[in-house]
This record gives sequence, structure tokens and C-alpha cells, in this order.
Amino acid sequence: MRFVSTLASGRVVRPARRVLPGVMLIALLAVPSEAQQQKMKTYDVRLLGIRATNSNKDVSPELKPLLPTLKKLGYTGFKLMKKGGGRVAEGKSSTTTLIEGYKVRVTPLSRTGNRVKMRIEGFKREGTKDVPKWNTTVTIDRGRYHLQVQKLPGGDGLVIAVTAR
Amino acid sequence: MSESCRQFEQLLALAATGDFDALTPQQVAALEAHLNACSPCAARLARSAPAADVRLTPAVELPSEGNWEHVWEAIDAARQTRVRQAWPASGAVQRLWRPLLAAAACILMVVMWRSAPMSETQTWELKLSDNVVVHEIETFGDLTSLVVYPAEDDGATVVWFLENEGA
Repeated sequence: MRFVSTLASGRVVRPARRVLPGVMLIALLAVPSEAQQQKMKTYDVRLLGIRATNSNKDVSPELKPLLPTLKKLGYTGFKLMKKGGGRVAEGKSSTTTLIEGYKVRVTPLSRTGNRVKMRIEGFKREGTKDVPKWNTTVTIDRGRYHLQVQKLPGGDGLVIAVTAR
Repeated sequence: MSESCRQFEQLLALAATGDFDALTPQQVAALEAHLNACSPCAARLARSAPAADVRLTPAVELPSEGNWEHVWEAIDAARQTRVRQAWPASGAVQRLWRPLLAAAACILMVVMWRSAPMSETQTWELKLSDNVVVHEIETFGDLTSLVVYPAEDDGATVVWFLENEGA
């Protein structure tokens, strides 16, 4: 295979000129469009682990947009403890380890228009095992967060904000 | 011809034949001064001096342009053959490095796209879903669930998990 050739006219064809269009094409294909993402059924999952407490009034700056709703949960302080998630295929899970031995597994199930159906499972570390605590299936607006709260011993709460798109 | 011209006659004869090695530096300087002052002698020397191209006729025939081209082509071909024979792998790498580099860049892009974690800069708007449909809730052990639906346009649906009081 020759990568440098000379045309009949005597002009030398450089390999970069041959390869460049191919590289550009592959690069375009490598960047998925919105339609391609839809077709491949992959989801971006996001999860926030928040400790809610009444022992202070501190609020993580990132949580300010949610504060009006969070305050209605009966707590005064909200600290963002963990961010999780990632890109997963439909039916595949994204697991995030939170505080106090809790772990949450999010599994996108389907996407219809602007709605996403997903399974949210909670586990608690007991000894050497992750023991299932709850299993919910919800449908939410795509990219908008859904809240679940686990009461913790001592009165604090573990707020889990989950979304997918 | 003046007396001074006669004195330079022998020197002029030597200069006319181009035999300057037979003249001393003083004689050359004196001849030069005389020729600057005496235009008849200068004219005579100019007439008698042989044409330069006649004296510089090459003794052998020089190679033609075609001959030179042929020689250079032979040298190039011999050098390329020697490099290929000595370093065959190196030659292949030199020829393939651009396509290999391009392919590696493409593979890297695909891998990065596939495995890239969510970057902090890709922040999503932190908004709650207005419309949450709870299809199924299952709890294990001594846990109880409670779904709190919002009042009209106020708050969001929240699923609570509580330990049983008696547990």
C-alpha cells in the first residue's frame, strides 16, 4: 500500500490530503447528535446526595435553586455531600455511594418525548452486604430532578435528587 | 611614439600576452600609471589583448544538463534503496505515521466520548420535575414509604422512607 503517489501530471499527492477527509468524517460520526443519542437510547443520569439537618442553617451554594422546596421538608440546613451519575444505556444502571452507608442505583427504563421513566433503588451497607431498602419506579420530566428522602438515625435526612435525560 | 612609450613597449608586449607573472609589482604599477596617462598605448593594448573566451576554452567537454539529471536520479535511487534495505521498519513507520496518527486521534476521540464522566462545567439547570408519576414503590425490612404530593403549583412530589416507630 502506497501512501505517497505521483499523479500523471507529476503532482505529488501527500498522505495528509488523502487522510484528512476521512478523519473529518470519522470525527463527525464520533460526535453524537441529539437524534443519534435518541436512537442509541443512552441516558445522562445525575444524582445529588444531600444531608438535611436541623442542627444548622447552612446551605450549599449549589442547592440555592432548590431551597424553597427543600425547606418544606422540615429541615433548615442542606449540605451537598455527593454528586454522581454518568452516561448509561437503557436498562443499565448508574450507582452512587452516598453517606452513612447508603447507596443508590438509578436505571433509566424508557424515554418518551420529554418524559423519562426510571427505577431508583436504595441500599444500605450492613456488614459486608448492600441490603436493599427501597425500590421505586417513577416517570419524571426529562432533565428535571425528583426528590426522595431517607430519614437517618439522629433526626437528619438523606435527600436524594435524581434526574435523567 | 614618445620616449616614455618606448620604455613601456616590452612591458606592454608581456601584458598583451597575459604573462603578468613576468612583471614585478613595480612594473605593473608603472605600466598602469602609463596606460592611464597615454591613451594610444592603452588603445594598442586593448587591440592586442586576446579574447577571454578564446583563452578559457575548456580542455575537455563538460557534461550536458541531461547528463547531470541522469546522475542525480541515479544518486537518489541508490540512496532510497540503501535506506529501505538498512531500516525497512523505519521506512514503513515514516510512510505510515500520518495515517496512524490520524487513526489514533479518531480512536481517542471515540473513547473519550464514550467514557467521559460528566464534567462540572456541563451543569444542568437545577429544577424539579413538575410532573412526577410514581408507578411503584417497594420497601424492605422495617421501612415505610410515604409519597407527598405538592399542593397546586407549590413544591414537588417527594417520596419519603421512614423507619417504623416500633422497630
